[in-house]
Amino acid sequence: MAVLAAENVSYTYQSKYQKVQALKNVSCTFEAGKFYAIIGQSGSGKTTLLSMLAGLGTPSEGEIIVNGKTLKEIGSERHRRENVTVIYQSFNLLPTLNILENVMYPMQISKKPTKEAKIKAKELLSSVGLGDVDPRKLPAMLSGGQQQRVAIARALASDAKVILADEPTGNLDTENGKVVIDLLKKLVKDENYCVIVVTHDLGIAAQADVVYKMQDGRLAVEC
Amino acid sequence: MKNSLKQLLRTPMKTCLFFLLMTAATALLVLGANLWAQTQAQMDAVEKQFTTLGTVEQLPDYEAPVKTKTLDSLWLGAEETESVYGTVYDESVLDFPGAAYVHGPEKRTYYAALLPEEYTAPERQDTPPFNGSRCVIEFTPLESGRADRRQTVQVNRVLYGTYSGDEMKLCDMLSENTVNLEAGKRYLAYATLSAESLQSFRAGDMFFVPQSITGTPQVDAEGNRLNDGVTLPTIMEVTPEFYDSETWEIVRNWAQALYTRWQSYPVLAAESLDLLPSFHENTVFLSAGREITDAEFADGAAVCMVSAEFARSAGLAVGDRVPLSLYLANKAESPQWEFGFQVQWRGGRSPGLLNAAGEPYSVFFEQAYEIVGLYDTFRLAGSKNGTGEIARNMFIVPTASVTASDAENIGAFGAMNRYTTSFQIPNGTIDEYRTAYEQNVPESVRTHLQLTFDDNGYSKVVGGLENLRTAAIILFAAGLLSALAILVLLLYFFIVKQKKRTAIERSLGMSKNQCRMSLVSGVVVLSAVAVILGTTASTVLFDKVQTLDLTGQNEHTFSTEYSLWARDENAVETEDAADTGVLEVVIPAAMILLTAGLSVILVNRSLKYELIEMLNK
Repeated sequence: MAVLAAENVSYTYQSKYQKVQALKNVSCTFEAGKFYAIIGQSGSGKTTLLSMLAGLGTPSEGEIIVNGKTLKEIGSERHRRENVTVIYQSFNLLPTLNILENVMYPMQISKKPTKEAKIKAKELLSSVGLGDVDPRKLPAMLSGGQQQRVAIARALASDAKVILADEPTGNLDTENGKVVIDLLKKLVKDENYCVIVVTHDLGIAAQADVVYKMQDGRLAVEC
Repeated sequence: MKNSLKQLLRTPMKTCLFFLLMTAATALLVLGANLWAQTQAQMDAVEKQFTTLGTVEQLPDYEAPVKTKTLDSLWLGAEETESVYGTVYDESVLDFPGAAYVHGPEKRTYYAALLPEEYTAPERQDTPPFNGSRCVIEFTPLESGRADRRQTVQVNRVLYGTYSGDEMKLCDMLSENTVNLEAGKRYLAYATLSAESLQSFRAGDMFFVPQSITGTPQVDAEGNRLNDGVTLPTIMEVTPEFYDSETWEIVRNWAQALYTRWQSYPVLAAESLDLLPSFHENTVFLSAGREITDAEFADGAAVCMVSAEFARSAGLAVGDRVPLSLYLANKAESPQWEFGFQVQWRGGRSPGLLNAAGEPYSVFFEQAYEIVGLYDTFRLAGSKNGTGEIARNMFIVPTASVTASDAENIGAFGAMNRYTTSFQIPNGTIDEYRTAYEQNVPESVRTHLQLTFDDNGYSKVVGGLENLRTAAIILFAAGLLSALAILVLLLYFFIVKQKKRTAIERSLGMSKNQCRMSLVSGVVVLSAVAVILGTTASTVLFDKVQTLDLTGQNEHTFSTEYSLWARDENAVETEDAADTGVLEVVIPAAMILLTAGLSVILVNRSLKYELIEMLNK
């Protein structure tokens, strides 16, 4: 059964001066335990599709279906809190919180006890290979690869089993990029996560179970 | 909130800077507001406490020498003069356009009144109502001779006075054309005790000097004389026919009128206590009970104030009712001129002893007055107006309470003078009043009038307070502007520039309310602590400023600790000081609410941004 799906989703960006239809009637499904890649040229609508799936925007038309229920039924906030978690190209860590606090943050939002959250956050940091890094460091003190691993740890801190990653290796060197992708693949394999990665990197796409290709806002091919 | 504060404190320099700036701005704002409020309260209090009084004096056209000699002229060696007025103006000349009055011009009348004997019994009086210095006597010379030479006479009968000797030394030194006295004949004279000089007087070398029985003429309400008054020779021969003559009737009436006047008490009718220079200058003050209210003055209530000294001697207290029988109106002088102030010496110069018919005036109005307050006096030498309109043992009643016409009982009528005529104008309007006066009152009238204003130092005090208020307003404005500027910057850095943080938090599943709390709580707590600290600092600073005498108004050359009038002023200051405490709560609360309100508005704006756009930036 699909844990996440887009049904005839369209989305139009509306700026002051123009309207741009970024998604045109896109339909696709995502299942647990699979690694998905969404590829396409810049402006093809792949990040917009990811955002729609993450509940960061509301489709102009169509529905996002989560475990058989529409996003409207579940509510975007709850969806973001319980069902999906997002990893960004620019990491989007909170710069004034140290890395431990960044990882603890989703758990605090879910009202998990602080002590428990702290222990889990430390475990997660270790699991992404940051066990030796001082958890009191601020994100700005880490390398890009380390920051992205913190972002992955933060993503894992929520109870969501769907990870949406937007160019997660875009700001990383090849070595660090490989580490991150390996981490994600491990989650799919070991913990039955559904990982959806938006990427330009065909090498990453080649490692995916399913690849969606976007072109001019439409889903062109499912490979 | 914990995370919110934590994130603020992770930028310690910025946070500390804003904290300190906010503290300083709040201190400035609260201090300015407190000073402003206090100064304003002081100005309001000053406005209530101070009054601006104008007094009016009509200047005589010229001074004319007095034809008849008096003891004063003999003793002082100077020629006595009397003021001559062409036209006697009434107070209506001051009703001109542009004249803004709190109390319009009032020319006060005082009345001579009789009280029941229970209050005026000799044993109740500090000084006996009779003395031996004046008398109306029938006498027989022991030797013949000119009356202007001192000689001893036998006293046959005392018509007025307490003289009790069988013989008396007499010298008719004031008459231009004295008579020859013949031994064995009977004569009559009104005489006063005197001496040839002050030294002789002090040495006890005294004698009686016959004086002319001269009654001032009765006048009507417009001041027109009804007759020329009464003038009798200084020494009159008493023959058997004399007792049937009109002259004898006049002498008897004169003696009776003198007796009545000794029994009389002055009653000053006024339209407001504020119009009395003595009350204005605080040389007269309330010592018990209360003052007559404006409503009582306006309604003509049967209430009065009386001198505390008289109340003590007469056994009267606040709340007692005293019947007053008014029989004579004086529209020329202040009651002190006739009844004295510290020493009771009425009688000798009493005007209006006899009416146009040569008879004593009869009572024209009787009413029982309730004593609502007792007044006392500072007997200060050198005060501007002294206690010029306050006479010994005087009653003060509302003008409107005398409901009967006094037109038939006016014993004296004269020009306005500073003790009888005054008006009250709003504080700080002396220059405007003078300008309007000069523009609207003809110069021919103005040359005869002398206006004197006394604001009790209001302009000096208010000038000082206005300077202080301006400084306080500048301080307040600077505090307000800097507080707003700092608040705007604070919100810009800690709210507006945190759009991305809000977006990240939302992407992690935070609800909008949690996002609001996350940003606003830290900022509000930071500013609340800064505002409270700033307010506390300003309170300390305000207390320091209060101890400084910025207006100079607290300069005293004497202690006012035991002064009743000063106690009232202190009471007002205490109330004002308490009022400023409100600002120390209202301003910080307003600042915290403003911070919270603006923060919420700005966070709400951040929440409107599309997460897609914010997160992909």
